[in-house]
Amino acid sequence: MKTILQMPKLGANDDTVQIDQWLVNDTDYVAKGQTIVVVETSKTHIEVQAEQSGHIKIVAKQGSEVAAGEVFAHVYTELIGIEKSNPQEESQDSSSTPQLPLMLSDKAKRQVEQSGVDIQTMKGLVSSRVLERCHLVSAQGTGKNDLEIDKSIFPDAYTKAVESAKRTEIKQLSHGTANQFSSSLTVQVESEPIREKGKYILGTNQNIFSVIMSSYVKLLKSYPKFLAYYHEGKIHYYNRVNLGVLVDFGKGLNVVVIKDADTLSAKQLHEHIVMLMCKSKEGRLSVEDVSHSTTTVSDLSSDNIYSFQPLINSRQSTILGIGADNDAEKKRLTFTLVFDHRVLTGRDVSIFLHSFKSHLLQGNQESTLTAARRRKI
Amino acid sequence: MNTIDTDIKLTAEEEKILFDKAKLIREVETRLLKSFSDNEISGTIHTCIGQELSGVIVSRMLRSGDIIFSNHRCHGHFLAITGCVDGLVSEIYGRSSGVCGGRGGSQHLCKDGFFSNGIQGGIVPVGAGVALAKKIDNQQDIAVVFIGDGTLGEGVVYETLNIVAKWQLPLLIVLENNLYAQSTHQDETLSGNIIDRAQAFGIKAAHGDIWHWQSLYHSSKELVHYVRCSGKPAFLQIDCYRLKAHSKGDDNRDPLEVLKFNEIDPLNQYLLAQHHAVSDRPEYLAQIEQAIDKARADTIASYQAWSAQPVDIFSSDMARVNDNYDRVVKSINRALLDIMRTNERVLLIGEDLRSPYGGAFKVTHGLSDQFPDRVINTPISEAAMVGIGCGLALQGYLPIVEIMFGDFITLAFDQIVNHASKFRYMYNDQVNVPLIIRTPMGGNRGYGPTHSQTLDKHFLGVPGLTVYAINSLFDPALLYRALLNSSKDPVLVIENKVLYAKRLVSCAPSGFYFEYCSESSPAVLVLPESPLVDLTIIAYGGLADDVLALLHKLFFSHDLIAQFICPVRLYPFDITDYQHHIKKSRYLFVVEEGQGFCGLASELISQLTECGCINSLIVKRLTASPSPIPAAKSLEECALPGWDDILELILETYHENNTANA
Repeated sequence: MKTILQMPKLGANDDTVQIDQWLVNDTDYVAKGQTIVVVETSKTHIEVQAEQSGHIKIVAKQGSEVAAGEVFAHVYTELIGIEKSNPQEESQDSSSTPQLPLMLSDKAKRQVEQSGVDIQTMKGLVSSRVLERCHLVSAQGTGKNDLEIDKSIFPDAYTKAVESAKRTEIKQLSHGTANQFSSSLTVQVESEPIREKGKYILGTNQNIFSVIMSSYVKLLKSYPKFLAYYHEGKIHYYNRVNLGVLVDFGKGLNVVVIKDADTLSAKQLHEHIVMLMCKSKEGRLSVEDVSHSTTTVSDLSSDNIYSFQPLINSRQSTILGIGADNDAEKKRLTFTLVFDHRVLTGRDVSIFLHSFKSHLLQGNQESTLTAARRRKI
Repeated sequence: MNTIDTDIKLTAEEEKILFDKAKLIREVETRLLKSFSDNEISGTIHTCIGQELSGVIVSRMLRSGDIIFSNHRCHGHFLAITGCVDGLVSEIYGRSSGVCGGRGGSQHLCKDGFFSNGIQGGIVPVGAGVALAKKIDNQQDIAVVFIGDGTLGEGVVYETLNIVAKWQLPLLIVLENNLYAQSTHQDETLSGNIIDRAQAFGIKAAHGDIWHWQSLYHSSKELVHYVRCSGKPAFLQIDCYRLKAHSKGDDNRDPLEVLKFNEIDPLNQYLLAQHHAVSDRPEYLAQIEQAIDKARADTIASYQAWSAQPVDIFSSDMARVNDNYDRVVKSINRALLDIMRTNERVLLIGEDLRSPYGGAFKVTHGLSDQFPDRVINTPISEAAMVGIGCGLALQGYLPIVEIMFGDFITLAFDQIVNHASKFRYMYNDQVNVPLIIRTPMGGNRGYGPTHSQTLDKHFLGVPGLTVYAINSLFDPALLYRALLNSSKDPVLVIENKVLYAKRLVSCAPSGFYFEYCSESSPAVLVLPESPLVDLTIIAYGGLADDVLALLHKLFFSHDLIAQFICPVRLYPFDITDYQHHIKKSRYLFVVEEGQGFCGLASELISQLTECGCINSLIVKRLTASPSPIPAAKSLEECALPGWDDILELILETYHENNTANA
């Protein structure tokens, strides 16, 4: 949640004030009513208080002039929101800060020219990494390479930019499968005990996905290799459970990301997932909503697919595929864990899956209340 | 012999005053030796037993505005001048009621214009600085400094003799000649004649001894009077003999020699004539025992670390750089002019500062025309000029000392490290030393091995000494103005010499903005207008321009977004104040022009490692190559890091770690 702090009118004579001194630092936690900034009017210095509690993002720098009603800071309820604040979102508030020129690096310029993406909303320094981050180009870039069609042989051939949604999908997958040595293991679990658990925790036995995921992410935290990836002889560990969930509402494949999913209770996790699904359906996903997953899950159980092997995403070592046989007498779920053999072994995954299975089948000891552990900042 | 032979006998009353004082000193030191043997006090003590009369007699001639400096063997001088038995005993016992709260101990005493320090000769130029202050104040107060014959081996003594004679400063140098430098007889170490040394500089000198104390009394009186009235220096040699060891248990002298001097000891003789034994004055003994009981009962001094004075560099003036931006040399010159106008206690001291020369780099150009008495040319005596600055600062002046080349600052190392930076803390906050030392450092001018170095790391981490490095990203006037208003401790300001000819940068490269941080770790940040940062560069001083020039090159040609952290204060400095910025990037490059081994870069990286900030970062240092800096341009370029080296390192590191993207 983001709240905008606007400069109140502080004196009859002053349409603008000068920011004299910030009493808090960027990203500090501020309490409602706390004095956060001293401003200078033509007559005196006035202390301005926060109207909301949360982490502050300073917009108007010390020394700058701010008009009454102008945005001088944002307050975020979550620190994560501020750390990775969305450049596109910020640009909508550009009225609050002087208009920045857009500057493209040479490489970014080439990419923009070749892909024809829309960069109207961008500002400041934009490198190819910034474009990638905003999902405007793929990681491979669009520089000339061997895969381009040889016009001397196919004079009538033409090239067309792939539509945005599909491009995202390709980006997520192609990097992951290239040079990867994936393998998979599957376990089968009765769904009835899980539904019981769901009933207890969420008050419904219909949507058990969040219940499964809650067990899954909490267990993952103790298996760092599952939240890692291989790159040139090195394994990089994220040490953070950012769960990516593959969703497809017919508008292309998206991965929505629940940051630090292990710190959420099953109920909170459920709420997050529902919220992101809604945003995805309505096409309102922000870059932040789809960035920085460290492992991924794909659920085709409602499509009555018994088992499948999803493709590992870029810079990850694991992806979980959830399948189901809904026609059988006793409904069963299958969990297929596809893993990068360069990071994990079959034995690692086997131990993990059995532990996961027993977690799922455990009773309802885990109360939603005790599960609400907050990530320490 | 210059000994003044006089038959004038002192009154019995005056005699009694002298010997009572001498006896008190002897009783106190004798009792302290017992405390030492009883293991009640730590460290060591240097007693003056046998030499008491020199301090007693000279102190009789002094008055309250005079300032007295002493050395490691200072108890006698201290008691003769202050009479403060309690404060001395408690200090040596390490108690909070000691004159320096237990921070100084036996060799480092301070009270009411009395100062002692444990470095041979180093305090002499400080005395000269105080004498200069007294001369400017024109109140006929004088400075007195006690040294020993062993101190004649120290060069700074001669630097100071030259200056006090040339400048005609009211400093009385009292040399106690007890024949030994610790354990070595002066036959082995001392050439020529002691008093000739002073006379060679044209300094009025006299020679006396404690065995002819009445005559010594008169020559002391005459010399002090001379210094006070003429405002000129004088030198008094007092021959004496130390009856106890140099320190504790380190006496290798012939016992027969010691015995002989014991027999002719004037205090013993006086008491004999009075039919008294040394410990025949019960009121002294009671007073001393009381002081010891008081010390024992007192609280042990509590430890407090030194902390730098907060200096608000950037808040005063939001327009950091003047619109019609100047060359750096001009902006420093303007700053000095400005602060000399606003504060008449500011003095400039250094070599070749005055018109028409105006300093080797023209920083003081024209200032002596405006302030003829306040811009002072010194001989080539770096140690003495810093010591004099220290003495002036003790007296409330605001001296700014220029060391012509940073390479020469090694000659003043002792003054900076053992004197100026220690005084406020070790004298338990009784004094301030608002001394500013400015010096150009750095290469790229072809000046060769002894005129191009960046030696700042040798001065980093000296508690009491704050070190700054200017750069072209802000107006140095802001720094000098802020220092003048808030400094209680000495400050070393390093001005990279290539900066002088450069212009101040008036605005950040487009796409970047400046952030000026004045808090606990003053720095200028150059931050990108971008949600992503690929790399952080930390560099300071003259390298700021190089890094600034790199930012666009890295962005446009190499698709890399960099941020730049430019420390303004080098010590104390806590880079973790900026970790939230650094954490945003994936690479960290720390660049310094000086040698890398144990340099600032390694310190900053250590701090970041300790706070856990470095784990996710790829970190590289770039520093000078390990050789003396060659004079030839082509060789010098190889030895020193330049902007092309920084670029090369960044690209190399980036490609090593991103071959997939290459």
